[in-house]
Amino acid sequence: MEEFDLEEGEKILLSVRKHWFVFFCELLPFALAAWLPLYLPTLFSALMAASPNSAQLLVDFSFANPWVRLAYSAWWFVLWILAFNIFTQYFLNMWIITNRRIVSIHQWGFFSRQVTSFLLSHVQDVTTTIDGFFATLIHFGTVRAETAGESAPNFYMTGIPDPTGIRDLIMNEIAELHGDRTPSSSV
Amino acid sequence: MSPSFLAIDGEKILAVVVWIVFVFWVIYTLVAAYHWLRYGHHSVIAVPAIIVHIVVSLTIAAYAVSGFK
Repeated sequence: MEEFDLEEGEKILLSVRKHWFVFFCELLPFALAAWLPLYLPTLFSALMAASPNSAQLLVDFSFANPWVRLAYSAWWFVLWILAFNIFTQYFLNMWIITNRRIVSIHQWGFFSRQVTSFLLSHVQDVTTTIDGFFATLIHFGTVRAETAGESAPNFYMTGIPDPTGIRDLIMNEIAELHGDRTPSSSV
Repeated sequence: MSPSFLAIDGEKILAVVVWIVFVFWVIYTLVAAYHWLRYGHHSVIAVPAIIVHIVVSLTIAAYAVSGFK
């Protein structure tokens, strides 16, 4: 991997991104923001019918006017850049589970990238949370790994698909690391 | 009679603004492409994603300046 080197004997078990529905929900506001202004000419036509005095002001607000097309395009251009940023972050952010650790790769922006390793041997408890109608229906949620010591922070994997399966995978690997000393788990 | 500095052609201002936006877009696209290619986990999606970004952006830009000479 570009972001980190595997140790000897370490192998990647699973690479996971956020669930597609989480990505869809992040993109939805941009789609709405791009679509809703298309109704402005219709709205202005209604205003013209209601108030003939404003007709001169509003008559030019149509897609035949190049300045109107420019304004729409500027708006769509900004939305496209922001949406592409969301897509880039969705794709570049991921969690990688190996037989020794969980690696979190998080792109905060184009100039801020964080790669964090969390050793499975430090994990004491793994919790999954599936909260909400859609999360229950299409099965995505949060996995939280807690450490024994207070100094080490907890580890969160939010909005991931199949959180219970990922928890089981982590628990199995921890059990293998610890021999027969299996840590607790909860849902 | 208005002062000469107010007699600015709107389309000349537009041309300057379009150039500024274009330079910003080129820098953004280069940075995004760098991240996709370097950190894209060797995915087959990386190159198509960059191409889609360029095509959509240029389509919007072409529509924006359509109607201006």
